[in-house]
Amino acid sequence: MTTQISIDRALAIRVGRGDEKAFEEFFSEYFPRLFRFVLTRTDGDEAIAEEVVQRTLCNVMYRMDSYRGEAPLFTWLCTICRNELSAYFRKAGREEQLSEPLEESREIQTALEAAGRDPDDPVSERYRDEIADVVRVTLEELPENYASALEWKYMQGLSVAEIAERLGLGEKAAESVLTRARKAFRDAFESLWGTIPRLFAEN
Amino acid sequence: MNEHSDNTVTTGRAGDDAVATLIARGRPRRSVPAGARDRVHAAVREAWQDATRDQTATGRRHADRSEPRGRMGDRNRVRRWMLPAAMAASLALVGLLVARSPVDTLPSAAPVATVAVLTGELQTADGGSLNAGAAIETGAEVRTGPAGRAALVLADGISVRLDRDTRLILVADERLQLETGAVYVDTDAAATADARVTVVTPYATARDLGTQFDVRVADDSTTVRVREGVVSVSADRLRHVSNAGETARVDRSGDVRTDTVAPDDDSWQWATDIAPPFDVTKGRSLDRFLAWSARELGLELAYLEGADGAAEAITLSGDVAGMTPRDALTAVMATTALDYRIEDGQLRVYRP
Repeated sequence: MTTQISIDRALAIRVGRGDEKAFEEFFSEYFPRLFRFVLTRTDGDEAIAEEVVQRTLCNVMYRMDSYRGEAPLFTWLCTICRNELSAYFRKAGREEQLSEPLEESREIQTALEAAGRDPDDPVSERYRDEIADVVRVTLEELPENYASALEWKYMQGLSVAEIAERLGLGEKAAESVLTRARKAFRDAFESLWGTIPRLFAEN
Repeated sequence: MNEHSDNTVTTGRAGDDAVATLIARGRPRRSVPAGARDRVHAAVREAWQDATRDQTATGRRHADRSEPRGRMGDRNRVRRWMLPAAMAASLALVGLLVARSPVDTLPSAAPVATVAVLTGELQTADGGSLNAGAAIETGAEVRTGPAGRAALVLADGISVRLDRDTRLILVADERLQLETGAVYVDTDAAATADARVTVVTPYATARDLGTQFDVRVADDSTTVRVREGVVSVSADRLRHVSNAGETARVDRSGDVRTDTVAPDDDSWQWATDIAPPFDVTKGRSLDRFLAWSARELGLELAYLEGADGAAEAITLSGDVAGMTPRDALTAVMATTALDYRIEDGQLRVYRP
């Protein structure tokens, strides 16, 4: 069975060997995800995100063959990116003032716990902004095509046929992407926040 | 099972519904600015091409993934930019071959550069003097003395400037060997987009990835400073990528120390002073002159209150030869209806 890590490993090898298509695939997939990864940690500072991600990816180009598939490629890149972010603040002579990771926010945890505890409570309305952020951060953890498919389907209300067209796939394949995207979302959500509150299952 | 007893859901239809409801209440991912994407793409692509070119040149057999980590030695703990030892050794070998290539064995007689600007004297290895406009042949060695500085233009338009007490060998097109002193490189005016300069020194090799930078050799170290763009610095067992505003000092033991330098720091002044003048004789517009001035001064060009349209509409005439970029800026702007001020790293142009 092909695992995500084996796919990641193959991509890394192809990029390291100078495969043009692989490089573009790598950049399209990971640049936006890393950019958002830094935005989340710098209170949305796009200038820092651009600089840090550029440094991260330029350095990665010289050490692609040190990726051995011990973790997903994105996790590996995030580790390097975190180091670059620390170095950025050090070089700028600034205290590292990273935003509090959302998953550690007391407000978020309160929102999720309250939402799961009492489905009839209007607490979900009270914590609407926090829940919206939870979804955004979870989507930013996903591969580009999964996150896009979920946004199109559940935020923009596009039909499967329309999503298929945007993805350049047949409808059946698009349905399959949506199924895998939902699973990836659920996995990412559980990894970040714990299980999905029942409240959301009953609406 | 698709539902927990503790008010949470996991898989199955209920799980899918939960995901759907949850996402519908969410907000979409943050957008990524297209400009940032394009700039980063260009830089990363250059690095990728550089990295894969190295691998082709040295043979992938050197990148032995089975190399024991212990072979890296203690240096691995103090240097962040180290490559696996075997690969780095191959890079070092390439650097050594370049650094030790005897100049007199290289093909010669083809002009590789011309002298654009000169203050003091510029000599060849045999003691001859070069004047402004002189052609320099491939493989030639040029030297400035304690009172001399020179700006050369390579065949493809790249600007290379020599500080005082500098000895430089023009090994080949876009390959320079810096023995002593300092050189400043600006590839902005290169005729081709993929023009790149490599500066080989006793302790490190700097390769530009589209940029302005300088390289200075001291008795015990080489220092690379990046004013704009990205430079790859390689030496024995290390590869470092320096971005704009960063310096990398490589000492004789191969350790690298980084620091910061602002693009408009006074220490760039020597290269600005010897800059080839902006050619105003070709009916060029003011906005192009301002872009050149800002670049030479290490500033970001900013137009205030619609001054950009006015700058584009103004065609220059006259001559600024012999002036430094700052003097030329003062002289040219005095003849226009626009004014400027330098603040916060920006050259701000406005209507008075």
